[in-house]
Amino acid sequence: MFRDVSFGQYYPGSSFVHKMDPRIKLVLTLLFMVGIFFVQSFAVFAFVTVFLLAIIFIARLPLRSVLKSIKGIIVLLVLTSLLNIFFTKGVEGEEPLWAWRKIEIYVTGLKQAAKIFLRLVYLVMGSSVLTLTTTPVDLTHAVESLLKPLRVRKFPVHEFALIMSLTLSFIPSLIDETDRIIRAQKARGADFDTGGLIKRAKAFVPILIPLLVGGFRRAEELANAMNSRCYEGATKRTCMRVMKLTWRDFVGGFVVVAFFTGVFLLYGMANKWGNIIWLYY
Amino acid sequence: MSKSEKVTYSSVTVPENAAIFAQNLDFTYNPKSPFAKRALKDVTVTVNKGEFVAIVGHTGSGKTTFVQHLNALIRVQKGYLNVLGQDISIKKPDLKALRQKIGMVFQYPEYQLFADTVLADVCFGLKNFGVDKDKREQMAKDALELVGLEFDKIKEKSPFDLSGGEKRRVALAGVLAMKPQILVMDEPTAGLDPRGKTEILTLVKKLNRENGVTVIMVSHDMNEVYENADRVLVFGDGAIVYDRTPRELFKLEKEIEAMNLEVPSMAAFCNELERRGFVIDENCKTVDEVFAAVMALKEASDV
Repeated sequence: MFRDVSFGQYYPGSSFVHKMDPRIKLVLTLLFMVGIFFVQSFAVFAFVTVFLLAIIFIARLPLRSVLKSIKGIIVLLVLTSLLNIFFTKGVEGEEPLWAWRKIEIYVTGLKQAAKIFLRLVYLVMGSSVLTLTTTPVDLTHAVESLLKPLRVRKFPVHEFALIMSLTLSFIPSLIDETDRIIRAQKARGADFDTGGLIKRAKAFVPILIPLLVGGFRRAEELANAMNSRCYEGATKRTCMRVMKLTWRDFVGGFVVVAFFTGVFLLYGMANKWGNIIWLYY
Repeated sequence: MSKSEKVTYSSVTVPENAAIFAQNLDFTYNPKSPFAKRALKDVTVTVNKGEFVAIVGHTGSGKTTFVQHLNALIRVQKGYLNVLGQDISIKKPDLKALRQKIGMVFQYPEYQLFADTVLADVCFGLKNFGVDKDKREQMAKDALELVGLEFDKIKEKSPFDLSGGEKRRVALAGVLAMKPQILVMDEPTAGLDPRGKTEILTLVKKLNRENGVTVIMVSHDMNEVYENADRVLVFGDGAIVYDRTPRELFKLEKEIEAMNLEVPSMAAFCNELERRGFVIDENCKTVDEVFAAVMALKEASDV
């Protein structure tokens, strides 16, 4: 049952996107996420769609694996869409599309909901392109490297990155362990799939307790192993894998930056000349 | 194999004395993904009731996958599997009935303990299989005494306060309490000291000989396989490569070593003797038995 949890969902490959520097990918993903909020009209959304599909295609990711990431935010999507549909008031003089007592639905509301829906979906898809093409280890290296400037402010960058990478590296083994404990309890007749809410919640006790005990045991073992090797985080450490920028990073970076410069420009123009219909709707 | 080609097993006849009957069992992890891995390849095997079967093979050879099929922790993807007369390749087998009959002891079973007291932990399985409350304590007592623990001393203790060996025995009792007809064990002696190993193996052998429990034991320790099993299945790359008695199997020294497995020391010794013209009886497997046989040979030649 825990095989479905898509965490550290790295999809092995050797595409252009896979080979890019994780730091650049991280920055570009952030740019993408910010950029999405500057998209105002469906026309520009169409461009973003094509752009995103192109990236997915270049990364040679199956579309299914990218779409799978949306599953996690379905509740959020439905909720925000409904709220927007029901609570957006129309522009002045607009007739409601459908009304019942105090509930009124306007075309403006529908459009608003659709845009927010698209924004959230693209946000998740964009970030999952990053996690699908970058290993968790590379990602933590990227975070560490990007946070380095904070060291001047006495921020423990290395320790922070260490905590992150340890957490990430423990997840697969915790999933494995969970799997194993579930099997062991199932073999003793445990039943996780029937009964009411309370019965089901109770059924998880025989999984959670061994899991917690095991988690503490592992943490202690690791701490001992690190101590016995005189691990010290604060001293200057070098990295086994040195990250270097290549032509791919410049090309990829240029394309994404150029695209979103366009998006930002359009946003500015639309605000200035609101009458350019296709930019606004 | 596409769906249209799927073989139906409605006409399969299961041998009468079979505890486990597998035919063309095939399994792939994460099918249709870049992580796809075929773990079982066309495995066909019959294990008779009351047999003590050891399964060996190095890591990734499919032995754990095979073993987990037996109580439907892994569902049959392709092929036919019948355990104690119950067809478990159908879509919805009666899992409770199946799992009550098959006790499964995983690697490091002490990591599955969770309850406040030893008694509650041993009763967990009994409770799940709907054994009456007043019967449970007696069954738990039997099981704990079977594994050599003093019931009155240990029943109120927290399982987390016990020593490693005691924990393992409590976990084992939790499985044995259900009085399974088949006992499946994945490396039951891993991480134990020599004495703990012997105790567990003696217990298992007793269950097998006296109570007629069918035992399937996955192991990496060829010496314990050699001394205890009636029959050895050697897994390699998802298939059963050899299926023989231990004595027959370990005569194939070169083949065994080529599979990264060890030849048990007593088997190697007997093989060497045999090459020099001294034949030791099939049934002499432990150091003591072989010693006695050698002494007997010596006496015979002295006369």
